[in-house]
Amino acid sequence: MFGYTFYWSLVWDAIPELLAGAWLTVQLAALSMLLGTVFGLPLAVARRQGEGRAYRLATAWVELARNTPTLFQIYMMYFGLGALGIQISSYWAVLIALTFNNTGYLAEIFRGGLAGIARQQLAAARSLGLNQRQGYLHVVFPQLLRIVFPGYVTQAVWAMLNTSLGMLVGLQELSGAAQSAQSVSFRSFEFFLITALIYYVIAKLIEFGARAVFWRWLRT
Amino acid sequence: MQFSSIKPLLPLTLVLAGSLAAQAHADSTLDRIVQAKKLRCGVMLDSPPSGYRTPDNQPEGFDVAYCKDMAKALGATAEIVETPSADRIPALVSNRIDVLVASTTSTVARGLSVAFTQPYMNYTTAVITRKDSGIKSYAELKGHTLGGVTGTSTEQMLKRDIAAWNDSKTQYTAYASDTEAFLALQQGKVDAVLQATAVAAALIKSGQFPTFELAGEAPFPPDLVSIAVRRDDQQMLGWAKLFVWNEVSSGRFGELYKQYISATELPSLRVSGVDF
Repeated sequence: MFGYTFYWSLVWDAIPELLAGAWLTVQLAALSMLLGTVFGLPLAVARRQGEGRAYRLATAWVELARNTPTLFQIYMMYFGLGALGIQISSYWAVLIALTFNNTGYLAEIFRGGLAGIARQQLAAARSLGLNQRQGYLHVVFPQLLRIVFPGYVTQAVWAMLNTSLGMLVGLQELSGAAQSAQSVSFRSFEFFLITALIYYVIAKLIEFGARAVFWRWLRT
Repeated sequence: MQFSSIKPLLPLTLVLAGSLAAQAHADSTLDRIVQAKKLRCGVMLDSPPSGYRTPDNQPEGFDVAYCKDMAKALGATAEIVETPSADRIPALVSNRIDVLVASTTSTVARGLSVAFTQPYMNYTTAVITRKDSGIKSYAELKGHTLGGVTGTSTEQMLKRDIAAWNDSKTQYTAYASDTEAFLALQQGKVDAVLQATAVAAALIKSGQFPTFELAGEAPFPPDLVSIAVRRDDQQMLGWAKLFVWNEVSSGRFGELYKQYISATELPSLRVSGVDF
């Protein structure tokens, strides 16, 4: 094809580095989604209030996270904080930036889901003696997960793909590892094709895993 | 038009298409440059004095001058395409440039992707550090956090030494370009980076990074860099080799070296005991 001969053996030799990078990618995606969920849920509740300090903070977070490039957020964490004399490693910079980003998107996904749950349910929970927090935890959130599930999975795939920006601040996640492995010989096509394939497989695993979870626990 | 009416023309069309294909196949980049009067030349523009931009944003430097000489010899005008370190060889492979004049070290692994001429320039490698890092020489890099640019040959040599030092405190971070690496050094994320001596000297002289200083040279073999062309284009390679030879023999190499790099003695473009 186009007179280009593929040297797959070069990629094969670098598979351990690529897999180590893939593991870092998966780890960052999982952690940033987990933390994003933990921060995103209260943010969504605060956004639904429509007024007050918590609402304004949540709105500012969502606006900033969703309307600035992820790359900019990562740079700010790494070089921006660095300019202020606060040094964090590439790993933490990417994790914090992605968590910030995921939280913003997830908060909006959750807010959409909350809109689909009748407000009276919370009142009913309160009348049964649950406090506000318990009402959310035991009545509202379990239903919420079912409603927002497709959007949540899309965001998980997106978070996983976004980790690739980490290579620009020196993180050896899948893209960084691929870039570094291919740069010895610059047989770029082979390396980037295999890397794309690994990303695809991870994305599909997230999708199928999510489908299995949904089928097993969330089906109604 | 009905199909029957073009049917007699089919054999002719096939012959024409065939001859065009044969023509296209025989065409070297060399012919295309001469015919189009345009030479697309890949240069790194973030490493003065080899390649940089003037205050009015024009490409300038030793490599840029080589590109212009090359274009002139071909009766063409040079179109300078900026190719950052990690994009240099991919830009050539994917046909975005015709020739790469970007201080590229001709390693055997890279030779799998592109074809190299004999060396056209010789760089030594220096250690750039911050004044407060306490590093005075290459040997003292051990135990420090170090930075570099992905895909450079100095990175490969540094990594080899780091592996040999076998010291857990010596950490290496690969950045996407010189810009990030210098920023990381300035902010204290890393304590030293390696860079071609001429580039490092120009950088420190520019006053852009007042906290930087040189801490001697790395004990690497001289970094002989080559011009690269597409791997399967033997005609272009032959001409590019002739061009490199001609630049040196005509004295133009010495002239440009004096103008851009230093007024000292010309560096050798040979390794003793080896004929290129």
